[in-house]
Amino acid sequence: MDFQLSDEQKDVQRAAREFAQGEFDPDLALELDQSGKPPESLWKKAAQLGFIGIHYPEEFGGQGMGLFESVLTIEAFCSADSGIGSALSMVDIGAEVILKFGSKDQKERFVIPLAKGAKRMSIAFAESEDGQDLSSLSTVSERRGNEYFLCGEKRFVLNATLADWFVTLCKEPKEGWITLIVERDREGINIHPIEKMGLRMIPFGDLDFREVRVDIENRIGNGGEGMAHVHHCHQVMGLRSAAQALGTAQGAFDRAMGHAKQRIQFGKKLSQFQAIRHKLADMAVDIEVARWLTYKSATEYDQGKMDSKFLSITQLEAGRTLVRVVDEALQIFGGYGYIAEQAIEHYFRDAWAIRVELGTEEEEKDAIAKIMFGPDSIKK
Amino acid sequence: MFYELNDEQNSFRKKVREIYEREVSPLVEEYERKETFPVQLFRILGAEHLLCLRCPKEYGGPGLDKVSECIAVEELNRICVGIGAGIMVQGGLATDPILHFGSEELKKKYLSPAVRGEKIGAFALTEPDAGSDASGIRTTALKQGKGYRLNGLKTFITNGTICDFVTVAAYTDPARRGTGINLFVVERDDPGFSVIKKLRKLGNHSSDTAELAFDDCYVPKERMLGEEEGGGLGQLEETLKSGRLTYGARSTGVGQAAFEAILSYAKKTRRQGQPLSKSQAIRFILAEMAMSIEAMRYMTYRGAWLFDQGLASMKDASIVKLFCSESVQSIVQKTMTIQKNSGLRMDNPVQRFLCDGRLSKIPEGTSEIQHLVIAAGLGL
Amino acid sequence: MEFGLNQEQTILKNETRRFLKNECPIDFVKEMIEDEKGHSPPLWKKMAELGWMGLLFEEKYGGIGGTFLDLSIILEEMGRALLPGPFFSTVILGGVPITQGGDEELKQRFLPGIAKGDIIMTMALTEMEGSYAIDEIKSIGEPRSDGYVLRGRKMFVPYAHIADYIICPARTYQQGHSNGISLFIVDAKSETMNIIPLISLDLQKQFDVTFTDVYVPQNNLIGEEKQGGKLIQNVWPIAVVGRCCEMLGAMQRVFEMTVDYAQKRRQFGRPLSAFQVIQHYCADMAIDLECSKVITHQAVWRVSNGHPSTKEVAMAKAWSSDAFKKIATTAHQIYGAIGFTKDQDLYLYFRFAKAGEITFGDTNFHKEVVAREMDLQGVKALR
Repeated sequence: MDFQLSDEQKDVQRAAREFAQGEFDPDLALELDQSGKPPESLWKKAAQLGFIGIHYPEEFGGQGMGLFESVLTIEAFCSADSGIGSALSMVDIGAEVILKFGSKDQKERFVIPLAKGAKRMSIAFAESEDGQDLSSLSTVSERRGNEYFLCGEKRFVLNATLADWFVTLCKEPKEGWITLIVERDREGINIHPIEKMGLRMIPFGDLDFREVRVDIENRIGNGGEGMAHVHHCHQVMGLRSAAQALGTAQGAFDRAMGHAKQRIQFGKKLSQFQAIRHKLADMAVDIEVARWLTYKSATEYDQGKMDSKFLSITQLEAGRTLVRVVDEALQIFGGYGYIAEQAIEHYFRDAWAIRVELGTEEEEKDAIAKIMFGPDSIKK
Repeated sequence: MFYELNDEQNSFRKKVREIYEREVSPLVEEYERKETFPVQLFRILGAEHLLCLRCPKEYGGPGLDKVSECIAVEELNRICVGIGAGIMVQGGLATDPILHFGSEELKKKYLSPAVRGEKIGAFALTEPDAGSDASGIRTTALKQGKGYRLNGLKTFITNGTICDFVTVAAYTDPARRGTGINLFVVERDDPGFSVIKKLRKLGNHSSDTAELAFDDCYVPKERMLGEEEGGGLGQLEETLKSGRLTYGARSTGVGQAAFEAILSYAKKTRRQGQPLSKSQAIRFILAEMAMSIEAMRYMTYRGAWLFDQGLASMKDASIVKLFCSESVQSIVQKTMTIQKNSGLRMDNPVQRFLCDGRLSKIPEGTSEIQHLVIAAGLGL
Repeated sequence: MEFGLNQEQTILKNETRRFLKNECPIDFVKEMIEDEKGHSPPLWKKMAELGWMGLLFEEKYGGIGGTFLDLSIILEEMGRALLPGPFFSTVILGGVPITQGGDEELKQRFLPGIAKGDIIMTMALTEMEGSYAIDEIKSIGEPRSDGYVLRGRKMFVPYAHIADYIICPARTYQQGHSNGISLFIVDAKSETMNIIPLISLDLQKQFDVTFTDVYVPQNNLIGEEKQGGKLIQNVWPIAVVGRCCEMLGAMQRVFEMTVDYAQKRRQFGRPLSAFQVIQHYCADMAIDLECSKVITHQAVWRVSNGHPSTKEVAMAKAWSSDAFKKIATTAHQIYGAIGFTKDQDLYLYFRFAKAGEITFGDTNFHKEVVAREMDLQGVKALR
């Protein structure tokens, strides 16, 4: 047993914290959140410093580290600002699929530019509001010669208006479920932006595809593998979302602590009231538990022994802790917490958006129960 | 003892719902988005005798009881909490003290026009350094000639930028902490009164919230509530009690709105091959919401009835506020989590219910303060 | 970073589990509850032969030089089996202060005996108010020419009736400072000591012990005068985390039993586990269990490796106290009415959970510690 970061991990954590706390300007965060724009220059800087794709192999522009180091980075970023941190963490979703199942050529064409901060990638899997419900997908991509012709609709695509490429799940009549890397500038793609209440620096949108042509070189892996790609992607995303949750909760907690130690009411500091101290202690315990679940999940992933049930537990607990901690942190700020000038106000909204990424409690419990009791155990 | 509203009260509920749906509902989306209060509603609702509901008929008021007021508040908050906030200050904190402690002159000049919606009122107690600790306010009202000179800063003031008059709490005798406070009516055009800024908030977007400054603002003695110096906080006791009870209705209203939204969503949305409403876990959640709303509604109306009998203590009012403002959190939160991605859309009211509902644990005594008030009421 | 056990540790865990499954089945636990001693000398001897009592001691004292991490593995299995008896009180509350504070002579006099299973020990820590604050200890140790005379009353002393020695913290000066406390090893058979059984929810036997001018020879003072406070502070994290480990093992067992029951019990023509909400309750328990595991194991690792751990220990206990309560409550809900009867074994775990929640500080106690460690000034320090 060993519950400490290695020296190398400590270096990564320190570097990420220095960057985030040094560069994530609070006023910029408020401005970007209000206008719904992404943190462009911070994204470029983060890429330059090697934070984007920290877990990609070196030959494809990464640092060759593990998902654990990615988790540490995301945690540090979201701690400094929930919005900027999350935006920087989600510039490359979908890369996982290429990294695990793609060809060398695809990794060179797509992964390297992501690590450089030159391009963004996203995923287009879900066709309903429920990101995990893949039971009624209808997007098809018919193969004709060396091209696929893609038709269908994808919903709630993250970074819909910003991503250069979308890893898209579709069905080819003969090949079965496949994933295609769709380039945004192809003819026949329509993007319908949706305004969000939280994580506003990561715009949403619905995509519709009408006879969009995709080269065969853009198919990832082989026919019939589509669902496996999606499953893998969800696992990695789940872990990184847990890191977002952890960092956001930590950031909310730090701010609440700071406020409690200096705000005076009734002649005493808030931190001297037992009810407030216990709230803060509660929050600290919850964060610590979520932290170790996340670190354990990440460690297991890097060791090649990812446990689905444990990951579901991690996501669920991270989501629960996030919402509870941010809510209490806002309460400690009192009226101020409700005002948009305070960071905690957008931490609250961002927390609810991160929550959605992690899956609902009911879904995660269903997933856990399926593993415990078997897939068909619920009887009508 | 009653367990049901009587026919008259049920008709009243039906009548106000119709009026609010006709006059208020069409304005919600626009004014929430613009983060502005629809000031025209004061005259419109004034014409329908739906302002200052408990103001006696001799001042032109509807002369209704607390139970009826709660019915109207519940119905209005079901449609929009933000708009509700502005309307309730008009009939509550801004004018109640004038009704109970103001001279006939003041009632004629401010109360009756407020009833008709011709003048908009606000109430200013909270300051940057005095939130929960109301006695800690620093605004002074020092004798000057035939009146008082007010100096100080107020914050989180509802109707702050749109009011024609504001009932302000200030120390006439700063040496007597808590007891040396008086209430004054300041008019918008009084020299020395200014609106510093409008505050943007997490929710209640259509409610106008501002910071106000009093800079050597002269107020004639006639505009002081009461004849004697001191006792201002005591003058607020009944109003605070009444306002805390009303929070029960506010919470019930937004809880009801969230519940209706999620019921409808659960019935029409399919996941994993069946309507959401068939999932046992979802049914449990909906059952708990229904139970919560029943309890909140019962607590509120019982509290209102006690108030009408002259039997409600501050402890009773605090119990209603604490119970209802806390219970509603789970309802608005679960509504969000069940809706997942679609809950994050700005054009979906559920995110508004979450952010609006979140406020209720803070004003007119945070939940933490309510705990202490109840404990004190137990003689501890 | 590594979260699992290595090969040796896994073997220790499996062997401990196998041993206790044979030697400490649930019927034995029930028998010991009724039994006045609450402890089986033959089983005690077998445990000593396995080296458990001396696990933490150096070889020269008859021990095997193991770590707290090793002990925690055994404690987890003991919790799982609801092992009755004075192991915890002897090894942790007795053995640790002697190891840390005693001189060579004292260690030679006691440690080998403990390791062999010849000596049973306990500690009389709490006084009438039931608090753990050293500041509040009122018992007095008055010096005599060749020793001390102890006066005081202690509550919740586990297994005092069968202990050979009771370690008693007492004040050697009439001051309110914690360095005024000394730890005395008192012969449990002293005539002027009154030991009265307490009827408690705890599965352990608890006693109310009054010391009336009980003589303690000079060489039964652990270390020197005024060192008692420090010795208690040193054993405290081991005791708290040790308790968390026992709770973790028991929680795991409750979880397994309940999932099993849910799959067997049928209503409405199908097993309980076919209902989504019951599945969700089981998932809830699984979650609380995994959370308890990581937070407890973190504390174990820190204590075992000598890292500063005050906050982490408090977090582990605060969490575990609540988690076990939740798991036990959920389990009871799934079992239904039968779970309330002695037909099922769940009630034993419920009692264990309750006692575990409270001993060595409940959730609020430890939250206060966490708050202090985060530099939030409290109104009054507990220690």
